[in-house]
Amino acid sequence: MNTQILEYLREVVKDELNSGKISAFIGYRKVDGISGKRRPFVCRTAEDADKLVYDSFCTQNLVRMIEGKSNFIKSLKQPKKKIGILVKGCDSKSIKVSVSESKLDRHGFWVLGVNCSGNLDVSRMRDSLHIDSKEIIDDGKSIQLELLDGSKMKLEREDWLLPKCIHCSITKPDNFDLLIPDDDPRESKDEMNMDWVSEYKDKPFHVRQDFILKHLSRCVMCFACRDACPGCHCNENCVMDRQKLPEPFIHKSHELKDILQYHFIHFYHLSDRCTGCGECTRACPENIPLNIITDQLRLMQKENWEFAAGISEKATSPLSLIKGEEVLGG
Amino acid sequence: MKITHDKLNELLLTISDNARVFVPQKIDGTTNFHLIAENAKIDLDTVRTKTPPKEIIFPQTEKILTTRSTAGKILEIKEAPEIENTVIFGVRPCDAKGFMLLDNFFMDTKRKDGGEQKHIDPQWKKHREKTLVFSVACTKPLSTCSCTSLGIHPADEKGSDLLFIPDIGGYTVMQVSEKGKKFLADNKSFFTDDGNPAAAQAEANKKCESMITLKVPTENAGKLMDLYKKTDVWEEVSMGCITCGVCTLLCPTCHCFETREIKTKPDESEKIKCWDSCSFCTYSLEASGHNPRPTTADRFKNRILDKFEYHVTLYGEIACTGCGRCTDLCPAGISLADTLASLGGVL
Amino acid sequence: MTDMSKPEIVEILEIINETESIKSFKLKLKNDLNYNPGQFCIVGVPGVGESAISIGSSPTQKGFIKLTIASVGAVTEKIHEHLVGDNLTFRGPFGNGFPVDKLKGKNISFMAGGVGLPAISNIMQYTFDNRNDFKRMELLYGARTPGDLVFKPELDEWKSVKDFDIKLTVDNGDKNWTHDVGVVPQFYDKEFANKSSLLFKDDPGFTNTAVIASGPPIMIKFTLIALDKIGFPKENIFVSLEARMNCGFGKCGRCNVGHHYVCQDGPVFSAAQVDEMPVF
Repeated sequence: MNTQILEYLREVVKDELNSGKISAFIGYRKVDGISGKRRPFVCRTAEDADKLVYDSFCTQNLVRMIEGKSNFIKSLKQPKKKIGILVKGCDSKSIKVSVSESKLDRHGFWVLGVNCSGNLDVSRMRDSLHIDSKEIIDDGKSIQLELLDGSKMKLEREDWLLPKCIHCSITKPDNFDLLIPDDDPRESKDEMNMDWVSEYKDKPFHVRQDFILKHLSRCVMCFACRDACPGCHCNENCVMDRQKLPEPFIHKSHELKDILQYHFIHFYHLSDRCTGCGECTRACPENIPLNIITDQLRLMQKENWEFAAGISEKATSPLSLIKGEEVLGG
Repeated sequence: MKITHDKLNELLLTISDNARVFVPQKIDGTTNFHLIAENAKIDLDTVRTKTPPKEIIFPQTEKILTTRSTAGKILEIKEAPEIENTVIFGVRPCDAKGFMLLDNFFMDTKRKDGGEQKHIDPQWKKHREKTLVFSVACTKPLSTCSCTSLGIHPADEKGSDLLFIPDIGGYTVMQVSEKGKKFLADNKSFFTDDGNPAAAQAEANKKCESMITLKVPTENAGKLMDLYKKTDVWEEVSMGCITCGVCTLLCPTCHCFETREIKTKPDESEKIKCWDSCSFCTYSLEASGHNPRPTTADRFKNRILDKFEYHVTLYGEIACTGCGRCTDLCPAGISLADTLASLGGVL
Repeated sequence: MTDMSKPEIVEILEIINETESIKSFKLKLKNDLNYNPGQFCIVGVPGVGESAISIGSSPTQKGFIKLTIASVGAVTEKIHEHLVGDNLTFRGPFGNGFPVDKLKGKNISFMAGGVGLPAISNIMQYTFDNRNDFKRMELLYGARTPGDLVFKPELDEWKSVKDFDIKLTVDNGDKNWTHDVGVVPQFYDKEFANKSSLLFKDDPGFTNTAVIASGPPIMIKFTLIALDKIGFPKENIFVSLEARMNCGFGKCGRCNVGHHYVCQDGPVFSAAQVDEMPVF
């Protein structure tokens, strides 16, 4: 944990709360008794700010919390005050998408940017090494674990980043109101490194089909990928939740064909909103690599139309643009 | 009784000729229960499968009826085919206890509150009768494990037909139920007569329990109704909840389902039963548009109270096994231990 | 123990248009159903779904059961498209029903709002068919508009029942409307204030009178408040609650109110029980 960043974060949040500029601040806090786990946390008083943490386990994209999915956040709003929010590089793209779609009033929020050195994939660590720890310390170079049986272990940091963080192209947020200073920020990689997607994309159809069906057969239809997604704006009007639909438009029988149907509705609805924040893949309790499809869709738009969601608040998605020559009979 | 690893593999493959045999297997990096096959590797290094073995007795989706009908006339209603004999090997003691808690709900006709439970769940009963549960004691916990807080032990035999306690080269086997006893008698040739199951169990419990660090505060179960109307308390504990179905669908004691009618052919439809979750906004939404639990906090409250209040009132037991899935897998990082501690703090 | 998840095939004998969006269906079952007034059943259309509906007829009426169904969802819309002679699937009876034995020898005030009337018409018909077992009775029935009142022929028919008063109210009347105007809670307050309700006539101490109420949740809430104001004993108020249901026998989970499953422990609860529930 970078103590310099943490101290700055707590102090600045206290100042803003005390000065009355913000009515609440959304950040992260620790979860008692469980290592490597953080949860979203709303500070309303300066005392609350002392519970704030920021480190490489703060994975949740907090933008999802301010998009009107949560009535609770709406209730925090006070007249003439903003709501503060902590935003990492990849999360800042989600703000732009929401603003560009008029789902978020940027002026209602005070965005505190923070540099990100990549989030750790604790669940992968546990599943592949069969270990679990009392304590995980990440010093920015390596990870030191104290295992449940008391033994110690050291891991290479770069090996255990979340998939989305390995080729991160936006370690520094933009579109913030204030950026927490950082002496030693992690460098961004090239814009959209998609080698792994290109490799998959060139495989024969049946290989790709087998791959995705095998993984999706684990889906339990918990909708965590939808509910964690900052780009999903339909909330309780989601097509999967509608009671009245002309049969056989949506089947919810949990058979593989229905699972496939749901995921592809999600993928296509998100195709020009997906910023690659990786929340769907991280939220999935069954480790389904959903980003294999979302990344392909992003790559296709990049290659065909030079478009990427979350780069500009003003850009219109090519999928919602109709040119004169495209109009039938026009 | 004892059995070596090789003999166990041979046994499971042999019985798979006449029964569905499920074992935990790591496929594509994720460990879940799958049907055993010739070269299948049983993965017991992974402490906890992502999906609990509940999925075998209470499948995620199950066909219960087929109906033939044409233009308003119903011609025939056919029941689903019989359920095959099933063996689940590698169930953890917490998940085995989960079966017992679900038995309360699905099959028990006695209730503690004096009310009457008139019906049993026919599908659950059919599955349960045809299934043998072979548990394997835990040798190490995860950081989110807290079975001991719920009165369950890492080598507990409750809810199993046979308990397998790992030792060098194989397992010491404890016979638990009559069904288990019969199975041992029918397959004697695979086992040897040595070993002391009670001693092995005690030792396994001691070794594993010393590593369990997380405590779920259960002392307030049965008192939480006092908080029912304190909306702010529930908003606070459910903060960040995205109302997905992870904590409920993957819980070994959650039992909600929905039956749905699916048209399969122009004149044929199926009635299927599939998992549902009280976290979903549509779960109790009435056709009139009225929703008794419209907010995130309402639905979160229902989940916690169902496990730590309602089940206690109805059956005298907490409907939680401390398996830790809800805490481990929650995308929002919400921990059950944390939630109960916070609720206890404001009681 | 029978398998409650398996339906039987029933035939539609008669369809009565009650209002623009409400129809009553008389159904023919293989055998006469043995049930308590106040129990409900689950009817369905293959390939579309099932819906929980209270049985509107009384077990004293033989040869058919009557269900009154409002077209509000996918399933009920589909049921409305059915014609006489068509089939539906039927499961039931479910739930507890009204405590008939407790009600015997009492005065009864029936209070219904909108589509709530069919949920208590079963017990009403039962008391009419066993008229001598009960004392004075009345019906206070309210709906949004005169067009939303269901059971118009029955309301006429019931006028001839001995010692039975009918009082109607609508939120918005029209030029032909001769009864009260005003929302149900106001109506009760007025009835109670001028003590015109039967509750005050024969049994001013409320020692031998029962109230049976049914309607939308909001109406139930205000009914209970109005009755509480006049000090009516809670053990003698019985309400029929609504909830989204799916299995019908207490297993699928969605209709729970506290630790009660409405489909199994209800739909009929006494106000004393409702008081202990974490609703309203």
